[in-house]
Amino acid sequence: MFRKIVSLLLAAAMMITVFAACGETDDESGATYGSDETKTLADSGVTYGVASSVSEGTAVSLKVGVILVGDETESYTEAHIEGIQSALTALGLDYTDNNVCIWNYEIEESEECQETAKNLVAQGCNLIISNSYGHQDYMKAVAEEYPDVMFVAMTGDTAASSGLSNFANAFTEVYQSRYVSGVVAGMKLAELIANDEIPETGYDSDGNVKIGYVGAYNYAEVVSGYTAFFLGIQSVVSNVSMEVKYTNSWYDWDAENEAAKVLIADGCVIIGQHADSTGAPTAVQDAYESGTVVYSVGYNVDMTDIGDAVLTSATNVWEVYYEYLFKTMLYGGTVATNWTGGYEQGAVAITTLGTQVAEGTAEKVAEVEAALQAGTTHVFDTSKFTIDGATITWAYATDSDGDFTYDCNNVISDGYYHESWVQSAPSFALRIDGITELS
Amino acid sequence: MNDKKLRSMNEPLVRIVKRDTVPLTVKIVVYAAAILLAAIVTGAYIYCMSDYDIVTTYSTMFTGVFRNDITVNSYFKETCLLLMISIALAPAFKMRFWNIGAQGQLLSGGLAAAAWLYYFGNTMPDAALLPIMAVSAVLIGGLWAMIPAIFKVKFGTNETLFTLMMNYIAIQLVACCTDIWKGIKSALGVIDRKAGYVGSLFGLKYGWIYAAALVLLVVMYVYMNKTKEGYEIAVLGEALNTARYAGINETLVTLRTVFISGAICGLVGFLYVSNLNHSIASSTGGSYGFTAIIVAWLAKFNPIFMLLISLLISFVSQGSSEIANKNTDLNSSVADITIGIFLFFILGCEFFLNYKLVWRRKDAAQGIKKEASSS
Repeated sequence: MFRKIVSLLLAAAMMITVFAACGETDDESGATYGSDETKTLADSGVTYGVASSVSEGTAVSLKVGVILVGDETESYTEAHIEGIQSALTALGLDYTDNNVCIWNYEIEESEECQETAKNLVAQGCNLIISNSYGHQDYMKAVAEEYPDVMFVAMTGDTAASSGLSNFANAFTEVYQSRYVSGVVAGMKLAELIANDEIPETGYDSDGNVKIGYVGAYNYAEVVSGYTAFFLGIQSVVSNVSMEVKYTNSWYDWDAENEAAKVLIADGCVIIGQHADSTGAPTAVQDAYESGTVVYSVGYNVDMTDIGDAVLTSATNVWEVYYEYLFKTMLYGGTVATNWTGGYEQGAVAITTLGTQVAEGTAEKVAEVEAALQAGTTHVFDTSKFTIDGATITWAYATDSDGDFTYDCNNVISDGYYHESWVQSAPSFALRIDGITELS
Repeated sequence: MNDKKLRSMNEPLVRIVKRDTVPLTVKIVVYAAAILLAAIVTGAYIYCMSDYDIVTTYSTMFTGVFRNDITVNSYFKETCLLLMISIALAPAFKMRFWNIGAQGQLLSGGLAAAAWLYYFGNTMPDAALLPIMAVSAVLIGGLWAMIPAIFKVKFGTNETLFTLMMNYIAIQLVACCTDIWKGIKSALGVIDRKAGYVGSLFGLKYGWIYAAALVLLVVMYVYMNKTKEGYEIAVLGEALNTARYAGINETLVTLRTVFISGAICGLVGFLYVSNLNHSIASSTGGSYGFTAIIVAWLAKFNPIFMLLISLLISFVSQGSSEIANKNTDLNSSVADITIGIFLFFILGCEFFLNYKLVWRRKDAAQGIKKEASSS
C-alpha cells in the first residue's frame, strides 16, 4: 500500500514538473519579405481595398494557418483554397511549404475550430484565417488569448464590435455578381417569353414568371444574395416572382437537390442558389433532360460541366482579398477590421456562360458590369423595389446590442441601400415585394 | 499403440491454455513488446502511405506534442479529460455494469452547466453561478446514468444497450438546445456571458482540469481499494450470489456506483463548458466516452495504468494530427488509424497474458510419424 501511494505521488510530481518545464512558444521561421516603410490602412468602417494599395513595408515574417470548413470537393471552400494558393503564389511564396502555410480541412464550427486555431498558434503561425461564418466566435476567443497573432474570420461580422485589433472580417460585395447572374437569367427568360416556351405552370396567378431559389439559411447574407439576384432578373424582365426554399445547411447535397426538385415541381423556370453543393443544378439538369423548361444559376464555382441547363455562377474572387491581406502582413501594415471589394476591385465575377444563354448575354453582362464598376447602377436602388407596396427611405444595418435586430446606422441615402457600408458582411435583410420564403 | 501415442495423435498443433498467474516482469515485457510492435506497424503504415520513414514519423509526432507550452498543455489537457472519463467508468465496470453511456452523461451534465451559463451568466456572480453549474452538472450526469441502472435493478433490462441509447438522446437534446440558443448563426458559437467561466489555476489555463484529474485519480484509487463501498463493488462484480449471501444490498450498491460513474462524467462536461469551450455542441467530448472504455478495461481499473494508457493514446492522437498536418499525403483520419493500431496490439497482448499457447511437442509428432511408417 505504502509503495502504491508513493508511486501515485511520484506520478503526480512528474506531471507537475513537466508542466513547469514547458518552454515558451518558439517561432519557426516563416517567409520574410519587404523593406523599410510601413503603411497603415484606414480602420474605420469598411475598407475597400486592393493589394496594390499597400506599399512596401517593414520586413515581417508570414506564416499562414488556414482553417477550412470543407475541403477541395466542396465549392465554397474550393474557391477559398484557390484564392489563398494564387495569392501566395503571386507573392512568390510556396503554399505547399509548411513554413509558409498550414492547411486544416473539414474543421467544424465548434470547439474544434478553437483547438485548431490554438494548434496553429503553437506551430508559429502569425496569421490565421477561417472561412466559415460560424467559426468566428472561436476565432475571437483565441484572438483574445494571443494578441500577437492576427486572426481573420472570413464572412464574419463581429470583428468591429469585438474591439480587438488582431481580429478582422472580410467579405466581397458578392451581391453585385449575384445581380449580374440575375441579368444572365433575365436575358434567358426574355428569350423564353419571346419564343413562348414557358408553359402555363411557369406563371403565377398574377401572370409573373416563377423563379426558385435554394438558400442555406434565412440570414442577411442569403437574403441580400437572393434579393440582388431577383433585382438582376427584374432589370431585364419585370413580371417575375420568386420563391425561396431554405435547407438550413451551407452544404447538403441531398437537401439542396430535394429543395430544387420541389421548386421545379412548382413550375419555377429559373433556379438560383446560395448553398455550396451542386445538388440544385443537378436536379435542374435532370429535369431539363426530361423535357422541363428550367435553367440553373450556380454559386462559387463554374458548374457548367453539369450540363446545358446551367447558365452561369456568381462567384467571389477571394484572391483579391488574400493578396491584400498577405501583402499587408508582410509589409507590416494594419489589416482592415472590415474589408470588402466588388467589381471595382475585381473581387467578384460571374463564371463562364453556359451553352444555352440567350443571344447578346455577354454584351449585356459587360454593360452591367461596367455600370456597377462605375457606380452608375446600384443593385439595391430603392426606386426598383418596394416593401408592402411602399418605397423605403430608411434602413438600419447595425445590431448594437447583440439581439440580431438592426438598431442603428441608416444605410439608405442617394436613392440606394448602401450594402457592405458599415460592415463587410452583407447586411441587407429586408424582405421585398415579389419574393416569398417557403417554410 | 499405447495411451501416450494415442493422445499424441489426437493432439492439435497448438492448444490454448489459461494461465493462472502472470509475474509482473512478464506483464511488463509483453506490454512493452506490444507497444513496440504497434509503433513499428504504425511507422510501416505511414511509410507505405507517404514519404515519411519511421524516424521522421516519430520525431514529427514528438515535435507535435512537445513543441512548446501550447502543445504540451493541450497534450496534458486531452490526457486528463480521457483519464477522468476512464476513472468515471472504472467503478461501474468493476461491478460488471457496462456503462457505454459516458458520452451522454458528459453531455447531459455539460448541457445543465451550459443552460445555467446561458440564462444566468449575466445576472449571477461567479461565486454563486460556478458552484451551481458544477453541482447541476454532477447531479444531472449522475441521474442520467441512473436511469438505465434503475431499469436494470427493477426490470432486468440490458444496461449496455440502454446506456448506449441514452447517448443518442443526450446528443439530440444538446442539438435541440443549441438550435434554440444560437439565434441566426450557423453554429452556437461561444456563449458570451459576464460570469460562469472557470479561469486558470496555478497560472495554468487548464489548471482545474489537471487538478480535478489528479484528485479523482487518488480518490478513486482509495475508494475502490480501501473502502467498504469499493469492496462491495468488487464482490458484486466477481460473484452476484456471494454478494447476496454476504448481505450486500445489490440495488443500493448498483445505483450508488452508477451514480458516481455518471456524476464524474457530468463533472467533465462542466469542465468542458466552463473551462474549455465556453460553449457546448453535440460533438463536445468527442469519442472519449468510448475510448475511455478501452482505457479503463485495459488498465484493469488500476489508476496508474489508466494514467499511462491515457498518456499513450493522447500522444499517438496528437502526434498523428501533426503528421497529418505536415504531410500532404495524409489527412486527419490518420490519427484514428494509428490509435486503432495501438489499441489492437495492446488488446491483442491481453490474450497472451491470460492464455498461453501450448504447441504439440515435436518428439511426440515424430513418434507418430515413425509409428505410421513402420506399420
